[in-house]
Amino acid sequence: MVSFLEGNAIETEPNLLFDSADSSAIHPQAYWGLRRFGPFDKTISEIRIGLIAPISQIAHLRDLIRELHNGVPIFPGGMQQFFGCDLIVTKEQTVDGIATSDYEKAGSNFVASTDPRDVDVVVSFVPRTERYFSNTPYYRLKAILAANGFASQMVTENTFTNLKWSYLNLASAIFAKAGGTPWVLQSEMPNTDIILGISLSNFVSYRNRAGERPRYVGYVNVFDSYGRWMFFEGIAQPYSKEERIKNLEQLLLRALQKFKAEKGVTPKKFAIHYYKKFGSEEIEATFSVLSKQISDFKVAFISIDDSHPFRLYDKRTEDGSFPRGYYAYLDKNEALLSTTGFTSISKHRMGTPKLLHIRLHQRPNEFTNIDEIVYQVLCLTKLDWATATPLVREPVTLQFSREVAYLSAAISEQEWSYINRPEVSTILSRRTWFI
Amino acid sequence: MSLTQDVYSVYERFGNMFALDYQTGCIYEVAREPETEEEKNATIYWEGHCYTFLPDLGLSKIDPPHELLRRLITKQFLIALKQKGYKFQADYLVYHPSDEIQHNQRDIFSIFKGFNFRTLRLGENLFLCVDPHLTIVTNATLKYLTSKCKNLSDLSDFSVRWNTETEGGIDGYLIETICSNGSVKCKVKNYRTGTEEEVDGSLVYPEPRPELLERLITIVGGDLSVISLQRKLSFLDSKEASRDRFFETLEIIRKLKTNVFPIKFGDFKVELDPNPVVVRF
Repeated sequence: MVSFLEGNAIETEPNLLFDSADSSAIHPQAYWGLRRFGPFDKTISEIRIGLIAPISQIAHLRDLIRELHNGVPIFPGGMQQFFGCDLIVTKEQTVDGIATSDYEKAGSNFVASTDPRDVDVVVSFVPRTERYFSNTPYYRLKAILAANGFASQMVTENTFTNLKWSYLNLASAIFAKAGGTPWVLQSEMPNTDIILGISLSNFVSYRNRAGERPRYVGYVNVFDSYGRWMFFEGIAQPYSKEERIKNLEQLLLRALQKFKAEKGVTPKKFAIHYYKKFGSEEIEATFSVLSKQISDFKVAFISIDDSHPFRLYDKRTEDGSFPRGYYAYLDKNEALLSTTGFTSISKHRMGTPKLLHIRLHQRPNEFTNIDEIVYQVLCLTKLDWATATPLVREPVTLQFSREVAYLSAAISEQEWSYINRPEVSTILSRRTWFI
Repeated sequence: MSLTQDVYSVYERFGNMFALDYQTGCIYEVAREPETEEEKNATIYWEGHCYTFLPDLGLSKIDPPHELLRRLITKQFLIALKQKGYKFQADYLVYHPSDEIQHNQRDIFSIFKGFNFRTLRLGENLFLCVDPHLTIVTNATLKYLTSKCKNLSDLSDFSVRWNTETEGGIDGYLIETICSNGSVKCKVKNYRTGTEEEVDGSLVYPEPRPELLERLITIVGGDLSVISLQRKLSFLDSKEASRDRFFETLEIIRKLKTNVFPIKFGDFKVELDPNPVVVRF
């Protein structure tokens, strides 16, 4: 006997918008949109770059910045054409060796001798290491710089070997880390005023606290209805796992106040993204804190999980992959979405699509549906400003949370507190420093 | 794969879920605590109560909800897998020792072709979801690695697991490996308690992560890219990765149907349908 799952598809890629003043500046792909229209945010005319690298690599870094500035065949016209701005190197710091301690020393020297208001982004050459390891030049240098108010962009020897495909990704990440908005969605996502990507229980590094109980950090990335990343908000003091609900309330409250101040309106329809299933405590705490602030609101609790064995296949595609944008219902409020399967806009696929298991829970009553949420998630896969490739698996809500999670495992409690102190968070909270 | 050929030729889109067709038997709410191994195997705990298919243990016969049946069948599937020699790396990660992949660093680790599974309810029907999954098992202890390693400071700063008689395996972080008077001690941080402990190096194993094992193999002078091996075995190098994974899934299902199913317990009989679920638009 044959059993069936019902399926559905989003056949057209959501369009991206590349000019805040021109609604016709649209394209479904970041590369072509930026090349033709420039960035969404055209207010940045200059980005000041600091360089950190071993003596043997500093010239390569200078060349890289010059190529980004002037352009190369795959990136014609360089930063001016794609992002409407210039790159200027204003500070250089050499590293004595390639050990983690050498980078920690160089990072400390750099922050001691530089005012974060004089450098927009630090570009550094680091040895390539696997993400599994946290005590590496990549994470330690990034942590030291962030704790002192500097956004950074790391490059490795791999960047230089695959440079052709790296130019736009590097340029986009540098532009975003300097505070720019490269692109947003052309249209608002339905039934959503504010999207929050939360994380509550990521380990903060073991460093400097051997013998103590594990401590956690909480943070939220906030996006508007166009999928535009607005700000990062973190709890300054690491906490024990039992305190996570209290900290969730604090995070939500601060995010709501900041959103209202920035947008001038009170959001009514909330979408909260979490990488695992919401617990009843988390749902009740969210509802309770919002009830005290807003009279009439609705919340969509959206869990987006990829730690399951579910797979879907389509024998019509050349590799058998379930196409991007296609999904299957597991229940009325549950679906499996493919984001990295066959698509006409990219030939670069690797492996079998790891599906996103999306579950929706609404309070106090239904105001959206799983189809709208699937569309929302697909839209948000197009908004990671660290990559201009058209095939991104995760929505930016989860992607950004994951990036901070990797960093929190390499950062000390003290450094985390520094990142969240007012003088640093004023600089960093409006920049995607963690990507 | 013959049973699936027709389905494969007629339909276009599939999931890796396979129907579990079952003949329902009697279920009882448990009157007393299960005592023997057999009684424990026949009993499950759900929503504050214990249920069994053994009439002798039962207090009253019930009309089981679908979720209770799913849990009961899942438990019996796990027991059947164990009886057939399958091993578990985690709750749902399964491999059979006969499915080991040969390579030249077996002193450091073993790698097996296994699978990840879940049972799930779709409406009133039960399904088994199966996905091919590689299982890596670390064979080298820190004591063994110390004997091969020139620089002891390389054996620090990674996750480990150590065996204890009372608590089983404990996960933690290796702070330092110390070698003195012929004995190897590991200073570890217990992830559960957050405390530092000193554990005999013969009981401590590095976490079975490809990145870490590759680094350790380099440290001891070996020559094998664990990451490349994993990529190859995970179909990542294939141009038809999805198709390959799907056919491997069907092969796992064929083996389970032949070797593990039907599963019989009490008056129950559970069969595995080898046809994958079809996605229709």
